[in-house]
Amino acid sequence: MSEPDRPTDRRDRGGPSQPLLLVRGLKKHFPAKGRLFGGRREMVQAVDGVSFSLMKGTTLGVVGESGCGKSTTARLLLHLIEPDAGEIVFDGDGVGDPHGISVRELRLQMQMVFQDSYSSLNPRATVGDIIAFGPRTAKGLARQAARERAERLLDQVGLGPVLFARRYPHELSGGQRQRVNIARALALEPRLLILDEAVSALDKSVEAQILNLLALCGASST
Amino acid sequence: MVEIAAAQPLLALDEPQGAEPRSYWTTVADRLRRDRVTIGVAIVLLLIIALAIFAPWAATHDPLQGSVLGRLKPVGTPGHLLGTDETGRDIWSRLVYGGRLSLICGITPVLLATLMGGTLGLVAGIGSRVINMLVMRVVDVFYAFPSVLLAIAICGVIGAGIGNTILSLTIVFIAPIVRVTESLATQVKSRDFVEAARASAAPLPAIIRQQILPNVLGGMLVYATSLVSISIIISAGLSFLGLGVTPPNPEWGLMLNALRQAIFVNPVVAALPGVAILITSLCFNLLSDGLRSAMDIKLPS
Amino acid sequence: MIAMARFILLRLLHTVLILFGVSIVAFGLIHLIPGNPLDILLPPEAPKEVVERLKVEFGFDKPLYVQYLAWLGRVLSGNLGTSVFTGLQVTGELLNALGNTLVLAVPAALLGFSLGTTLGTLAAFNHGKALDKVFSVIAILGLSMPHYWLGIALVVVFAVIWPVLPAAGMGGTGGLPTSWEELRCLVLPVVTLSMIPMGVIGRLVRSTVLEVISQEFPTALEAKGLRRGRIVFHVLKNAAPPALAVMGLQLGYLVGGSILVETVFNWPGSGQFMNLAIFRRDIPVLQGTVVVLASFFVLINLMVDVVQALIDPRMRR
Repeated sequence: MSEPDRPTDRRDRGGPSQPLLLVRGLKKHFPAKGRLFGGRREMVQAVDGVSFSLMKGTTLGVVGESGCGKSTTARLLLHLIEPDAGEIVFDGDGVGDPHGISVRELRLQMQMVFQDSYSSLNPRATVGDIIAFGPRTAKGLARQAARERAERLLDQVGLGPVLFARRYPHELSGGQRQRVNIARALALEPRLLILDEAVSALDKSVEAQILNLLALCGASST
Repeated sequence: MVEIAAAQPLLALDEPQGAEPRSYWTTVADRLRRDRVTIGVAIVLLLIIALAIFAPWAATHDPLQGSVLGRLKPVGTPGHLLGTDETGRDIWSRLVYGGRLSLICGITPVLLATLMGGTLGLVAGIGSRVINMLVMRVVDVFYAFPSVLLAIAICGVIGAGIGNTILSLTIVFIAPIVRVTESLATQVKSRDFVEAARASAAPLPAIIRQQILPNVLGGMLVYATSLVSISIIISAGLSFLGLGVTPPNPEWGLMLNALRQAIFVNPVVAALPGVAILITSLCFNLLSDGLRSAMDIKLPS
Repeated sequence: MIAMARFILLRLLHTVLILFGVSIVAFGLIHLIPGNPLDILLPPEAPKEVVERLKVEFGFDKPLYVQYLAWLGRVLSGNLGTSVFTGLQVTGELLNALGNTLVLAVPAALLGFSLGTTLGTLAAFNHGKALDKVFSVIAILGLSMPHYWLGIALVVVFAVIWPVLPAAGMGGTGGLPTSWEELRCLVLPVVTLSMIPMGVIGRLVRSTVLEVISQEFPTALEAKGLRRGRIVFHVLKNAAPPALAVMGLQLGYLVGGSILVETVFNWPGSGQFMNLAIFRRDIPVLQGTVVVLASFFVLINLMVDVVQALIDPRMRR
């Protein structure tokens, strides 16, 4: 398989030498269930001063034992949880800075595939609607256009749109649901994809398929 | 545009389980269809409602027309299937017409309270901690009154009549509905798929409408139905005390009160309006139970 | 231990705030009446000077919050005002009436709770069999029944058709029953009142016990060789907390909502007291009664929460 020339994403701001993601001193503490008034509050240091940089076109793996804060870090990056301290710089723009980009703009360029494939899908919505939700609401795509994009993505992750678009999450297997998760994350055409233990809940054989799929994704984007 | 290079149909071997897509609500409807008790109850309710709506055709006499000579006739008197009341009015006709008022006073407050309380509960559940605290503390104060007491106190103050009854019951029911909705909303809000929706930069109204609301409505429906059964009892009770519907309007609670003197003369007739209240309230309770069991699906994961 | 104390403290604070709110609502009720509160107390032909004088005397000329604070101050010192009608002190009358209501409510609560718990437990342990179904029917009937109607029906059966028990009244002079006659008067109203608590508690106990049984530990206990009775005891202990909470609520409802049954049985309790006040538009009595009954309810809830926290460590937040 020959690789096409990587086109530069038109959203690129600083060129290949500028890190896509720069994280400095990220901190998040949770108060432990302790005293109600006064007394010393015990804090759980979930994330304590995490810093790293991610260059364009590369993959960064974060490893650690369970409970060490990987998921929290992932959520902090997307501002799903508010960091207590630290800064996040996306392609040269500080997140939350007046001169930088807003959290919303960040999320349009950075997406996440969640670990629990079942609970991260709305049980009351069809697969097609789930994938189309982002483009329709966040990007204002028309219903037809959003549906077409959803069907294209389903195809790309290997779930025939004719069969799967009208299905509900509880009718899919774990591997299928995880593909839906990936399709959903890709629907907003992010420049950066975060995977929070995306395959840890799956069988080995299914895991292999998903990893192949992800490798393909990685190979053909910036 | 992210393109995954042509290739590997790794994936064609996957088939979804089940023949036809089945949404949550289709599954619920299916389960309900197979629940004979609930179906039976629903039919009875529809019958009662139909009788009330079509009262002019179902009744045999003018509900307001009495006859001095024909007072307190027993059940089975020719011409008066269920007897007559203390002023000679036909009981069956009054029951049928009474159903209108009793049902209206029972259902309307719950509807109104669900609309208002549901919205408030959603706001409290989804909003910030400050909003949540503000709303819930005020609700706590109203929740601190036993429902009957509050309804009677309000009606006692603003006066009797259908409108006032509906108003007072609506006020009484808002507090419990807010509580239930807020609890549901808070639970749903913290589930992963809502987080995922937030992560896709969707605006809040869309998240509420498409993610949170559909998952909250079921619980609200169950609770509202069970509230209707209570509402019917309390509204009839208000009329019983003279605080609700005013005579000579036919209404079950009012009839019960008026016939109290008759228990020594014609006990069966005197008890009939209560039977109507009992059956209707029972049906709504059973309906609520049936809905709850049908919706309590452990979806395969 | 400290966590417990903090929890109770928080709850107390919460309760005080709620009581505050309750008093505002109770006070504010009369101002929901369209028109001047004074119009209700006086005949329309009263001369203007009399109206003005009474206005000052009752304090209606002062701004609302001043009136509220004055009223609150009086209430807290035990003075609930004077009945416009009888001229008697509200506090005394109300306490009497409340006592009569308690004579009804407490036995009804006990009867309802014990019946409900027993039947609910039996139903749970016989899940799916006839006994379970029968019980479910009884429980849901108890819940859907307009209890005032049940009272009438019982009177019809036991006092009219088969005159065994008195149809109404308390017999005697009020307070705890001191004679056989007074006890007979108690029977019908107590049974009537106990229906709803029985239904509610019965269903709750049944579902809670079912949940507990379906967990693993009762089977583990059985494997250990414990006798049936002991197992039931353990199961009940686990099922107790939510049931206790609801029992407290039910007791509160019984006291606060007894008005309907009291009307049927002509029982001189707080419900009838309030009923009379409403019809006579006796505002001070109405305000006082509402405040006292609601506060009673709030305090019962507080006690229930505290007891629950003592029993079930998970409840302490």
